[in-house]
This record gives sequence, structure tokens and C-alpha cells, in this order.
Amino acid sequence: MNAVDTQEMERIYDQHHESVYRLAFAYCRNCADAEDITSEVFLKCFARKQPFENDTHETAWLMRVTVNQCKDLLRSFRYRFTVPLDEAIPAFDSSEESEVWHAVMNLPAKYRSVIHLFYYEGYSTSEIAGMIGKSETAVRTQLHRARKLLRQALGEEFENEADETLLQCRG
Amino acid sequence: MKQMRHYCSAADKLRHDPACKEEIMAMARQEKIHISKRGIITGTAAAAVLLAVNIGVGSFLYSQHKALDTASNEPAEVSEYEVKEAPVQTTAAAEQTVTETTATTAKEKTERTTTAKNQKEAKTTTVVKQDKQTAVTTAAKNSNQTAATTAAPKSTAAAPKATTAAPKVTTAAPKTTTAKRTTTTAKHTTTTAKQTTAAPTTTTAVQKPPVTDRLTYNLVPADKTGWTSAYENDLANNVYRAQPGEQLRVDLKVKNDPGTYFLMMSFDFGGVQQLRAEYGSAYAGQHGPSLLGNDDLSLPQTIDLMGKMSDMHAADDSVIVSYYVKVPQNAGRYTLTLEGVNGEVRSLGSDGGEKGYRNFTFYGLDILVGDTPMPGTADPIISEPYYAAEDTPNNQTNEGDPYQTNEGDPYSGLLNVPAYDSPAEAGNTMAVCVESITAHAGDKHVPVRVYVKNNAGVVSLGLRLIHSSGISVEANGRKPDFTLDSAYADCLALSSLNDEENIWGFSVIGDEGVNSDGTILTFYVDIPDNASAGDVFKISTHLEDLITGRLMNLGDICTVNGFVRVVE
Repeated sequence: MNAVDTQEMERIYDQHHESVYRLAFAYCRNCADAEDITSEVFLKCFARKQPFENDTHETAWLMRVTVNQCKDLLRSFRYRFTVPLDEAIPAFDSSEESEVWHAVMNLPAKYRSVIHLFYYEGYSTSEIAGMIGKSETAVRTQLHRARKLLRQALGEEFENEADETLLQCRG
Repeated sequence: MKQMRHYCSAADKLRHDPACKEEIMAMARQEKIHISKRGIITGTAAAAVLLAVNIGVGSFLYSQHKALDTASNEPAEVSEYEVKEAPVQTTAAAEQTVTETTATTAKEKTERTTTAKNQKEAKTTTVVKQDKQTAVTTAAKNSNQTAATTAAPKSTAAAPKATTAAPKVTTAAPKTTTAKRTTTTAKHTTTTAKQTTAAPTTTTAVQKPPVTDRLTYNLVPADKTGWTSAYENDLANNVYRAQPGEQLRVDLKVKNDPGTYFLMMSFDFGGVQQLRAEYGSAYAGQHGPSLLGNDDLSLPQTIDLMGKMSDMHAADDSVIVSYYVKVPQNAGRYTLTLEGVNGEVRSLGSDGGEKGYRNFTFYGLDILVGDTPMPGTADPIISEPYYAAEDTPNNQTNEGDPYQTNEGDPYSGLLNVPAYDSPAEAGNTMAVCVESITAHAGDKHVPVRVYVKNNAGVVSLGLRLIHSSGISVEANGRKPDFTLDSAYADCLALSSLNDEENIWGFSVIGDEGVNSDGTILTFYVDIPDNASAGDVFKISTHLEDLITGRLMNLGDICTVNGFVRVVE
């Protein structure tokens, strides 16, 4: 069943587990679910029979499966009727960090994921479209709406950075 | 100043527990051993315990949920959950817990925590699909859904038990309904299947007859008499008998609108040719600029309206959008209905956030050509509860590779709009143009403008420029050199670039529509030193998508290609 050897599993895990976890967290907003999803994603990955075409394919596959796993969770009976624990909040360095973080976390789930993939992971809208199975138009619309909601939540102080700032921010 | 980099720096601090690595690796390794050496017996035992634990939790949660229902202000939505979920979960829980708890160890419980959740999902899906009389297939599929392959045999085994619970809460009627819908049109079959897959709860919801005060959308032939009302005749769709090749207008009407902040619906035209579309009076003047989705390569089949920070209100039977269509020549039944899982309809919450989806009833339109018989009675589409409508069906996770790489065809995924070689040819049509300029051999940093004329209000624009390999594009690392015009700089953000293969992809997103004509961005090219006077380097313009301040048909939009001509 497992098509990936241990060494390769470790490489894949080491390379992507933080990204998968953070994306899952952006969706679920709690570390327990994010960890579960991370586990599920990597187990699926390790059980995958076909090799990835390249690194891009590998990354995109993992991101997409993460998104799908998160969607599964959001649809699940358990998730609908329980409130995610407000835990694993990072230790913020500034009030701006805290406010922006919470504003993003308070966005609807689909906006959070798009915001995270775009701003944090640095994917283009076309790449995100491929990952979440929507058209690029839909992704852009979601980004647009997410920013609108962020501006509403954060007020006039919220500024949509110039591209250079974002690139720096993405490291 | 609060910026998105603050989110990035905060997210940087999130760390995945390093201990998880060993757990995951152990699970992955055990899976291999388990399958190859220990086989089904252990897997069945583990799955049984997980199922029992899982069901116990589900039962507990349900009881909590019921308690919460009492205090809910939205009884209609809550009552649907009650009918849908609870009896199946709790009944099965009792059976499973008693018979199977003894067969496990504590270690297996711990190791299979993730499986438990999947098991729960699998079981719920099984029950619903059972209702569609496909238990065997469903059980097999569900076995794939579990993260741990070892649970598969148990998942399959659990299906009959869950099945026995199903009749307690579902009547014979929905089975009949589903069967009818399945046999009538292929299109409709797809829709039903998607609903079931995405949200197992839907099946029960469909049993409920629509009530007269429920938010209802109706696709009806405009200015026609003699069509059959779905609501009055217990049909899934309104029915209109058309002449072959007839052109008609189809209106989407709304009734009992309690206030809508966000409305997005995509339509499947079922083989009927779209000619054009236009918004009606229902929400005229109430929505913001982002309202057009030019999805795919077709005419706008997605309506996408958002209120101006307040709910929009529509009068009963007012028209949201009108589609002009042409009926096929061939005899048959052509169904216009919602595409995909569902539409999204939301209202604005009192706290400024968006509330859950509004439940609604949707009646499509069956167009009958020739002597095609009338469809039988069936239920309309009933919207799904919150989250269910958010995404496409979850088939990617379970079937095949969920990610397909693009082949890199520079002309794939483009809108099929007219392309001209001069602005004059565009006439009064909205045009996205690349400037045509002259330059000298060896010129560097030559500016080329991309501009818009007859602007209908750009909110979102995906633009692809394909240039002659003879000229090079100045690039700064990954990013070609360009500047956004000041008119767009405040409200549009560049999002994607691809400077390979002589292609640039520009994508801009607006917070507000920009209505004025003028430059969107300027990019810069280098002319080869060895270019000769008279050489022409073409730069073609292609639209990937466009969202404007009003509904646009593809015939209302064009592009204008540009060039750089080398002069003495």
C-alpha cells in the first residue's frame, strides 16, 4: 500500500509539515484539529501510489488535500455542533499583530484559507485556484471580499500593502 | 498601521508539535505492517472500537445540540438538523457500542484517533447513500475515506447496521423522489448526487415540501403563457414546452426575500444555448460593484451580488437576472438548474459579519421540445445548511489525484472575447488594450502601457500578455518591471506573474470598481541591439477573467493587441 519509503516520507514531512499545519490551523482555528488534519494529510500522501511529478506538484497536492480535509471537517457533524477551542494563539509581538491575526481568524473559513495561501504562503491566485478547486475569478473575488471584511474589522488603519512588502513578508 | 505582514509574522509563530512527526511516521509504518501481515482481523477490531467511541461522542454532541436548540432564534434551520442527523447517529450508536467495544485495546484507540473522525463521516454518508439504494457501493467507497486503511473492512461491515437505522427516520417518499429525479435527466442526477456527497444531511431536507413563506427562487420563461408551475404541480422544475430553435428570455425570480447580503449562484443550462444576460430590478442599486463572474469560457452563468454593507431586499416575484437563450432544435428535455452543489445566499449579521446561509427552495426550468413527455412529480432543490454549500463536492479527497498540473498551454483558460489590432476596431465595446509604440534598436526600459477604454468598472481583471520572443521583458528577480497606474494603485493589487515562455500574467483585484478610462499598468521592454528598422514585435492581449461593475456578456468585451515597431 505504502508507496513511499521511510526516508522519502521524512523528507516530505520535514519539508511541508509546517505549511500543512498552518493552513489547517487557518481553517480550523485550533491546534488539535490542525494536528489531526496534518496527520491525515501525510498518511494520505504516504499511501499515495503515484510519484509526484515535481516539487510544485508535491506542494500543490499537499495543500489541496489539506484544504479538502479541512472542508471535510467543517462539514462534519462534530464540527458543526461544537465550538473550536480558542487555543494555540501565538505570542504576539505587537498589538497590530494581535489585531490583524484575530481579524483574519474571524473571517469566514473560505476567506481565511485564501488569505493564508495568498499572503502567507505566497501563492498566486491561479495557484490557489488550482488548490481549492475554484476558478481564479472566484479566488480573486474571495480575496477582495476578505480584504473588505478586514478593512471593516480593522478600520481605516488597515492598509493593503504594496507588492514589495508582501514579497518581503513572504520571505 | 495594520497590515497583512502582521498576520504573516503571527502565523510564523505557529509551530507544529515536533512530537507529531513520530506519531505520524509510526502510523504510516504500522499501516504497512498491518496490511501486509496482520490483515483484516486487527483492522476490524480497531475500527469497531473507533466506531463505538465515535458514535458515543456523536450521540453526546447531539444531545448537547438538542439542548442548545431550545434557545436558538432560528427554529427553521435547527429543526432540519434535528430530523437529519440525530436518529441515525444515536440508534446506530447503541447497536455499535454494545457489540463492539470489547474488541480493542487502549493503544489502538490512541493510535486511531484520526480514523475515528473519518469513520464518523463514513457512517453518516453511508446512511444517506443507503437511502439511494446503493449501500454496497457506498460502503466500498467509504472504506476508502478512512485515513487508516485498516478501518476499511469494519466500515464495510458497519454499513448494514447503519442501513437498518435509516428507515426509522426516512420515509419511502424520498426514495421514490430520488429515483424519479435520477431517471428523468442526467443533469439532474448529477446535481442530486453532488448534494448527497457534499452534505449527507441534504437528503432528509429534500423530503420537506416547500412552504409558502420560504425564500424561493424560480426560473421561469418570461412573457410566455402556458408554462406549468412547479410549485402548483409538485414538480422539481417549472415546465415550458418550446418550439425547436425558439429564443426566449428566462427570468430568475425571487420570493419571500428576508434580506440578502450575499448571493452567488451558478447555473447549468443543460444544453440550452445562452445568448446574453442582464440583471433585473430585484436588487438594482442595492449591490456593490462585484457582481459578475465570468466563469469558464462561456457567457456569464454565475450571478454574484453583494450588498453595500447592508442586506438587499427584493420585492416578491421581482427579477434578479434574465438570461436570453436559444432552445435546441432536437426534441428532448433541457433542464436549466443550479450548477454544482448549490447557491450561496447569506444575510448580514447584526455584528457586521455574515450570517449562515439562508435556506431556500429553488425551482429550475424544464424546456420540452417536440413530443417529450411531461416530467413526473419530484421535489425542487432545497438549499443545504451552513458550510455545505461552500465547496464543490469532496470528490477530490477520495478519488484519484486531487491535483492536476496545468500543461502550460499559454492559450488555455482564456475568455473567448474578440481581439483586435487597433483601438478603433473596438468601437464602443469595453476594451483592454496594449499600446502600440515605436522604438529604436537597442533601446532599454521602453514603457508599454496596458489601458482600458469604455470602462464598465474594473473590479477584478486577469490579464495575460504574450509577447514576441524577439523582445525581452525587464525582470527584477521573479517580478517583471511594471507600475500600476495611480488610478488603480489604491484599490487594486497585483497578484500573479509568470514571466516564463514570453507570457506575463497580471491579475488585479479591486476593492471598488474603477470606472474611468486610462492606464492600468505600464511594463517595460528591451529592444534587441540587432533589431532592424521595420521589425515588429507583437504583444497580444488575452483576458483570463473580468469582474466589472455591471453584468457583462463576452460580446461586450474585447481586447486590443499591441506591438513595438522598430524605427530608424
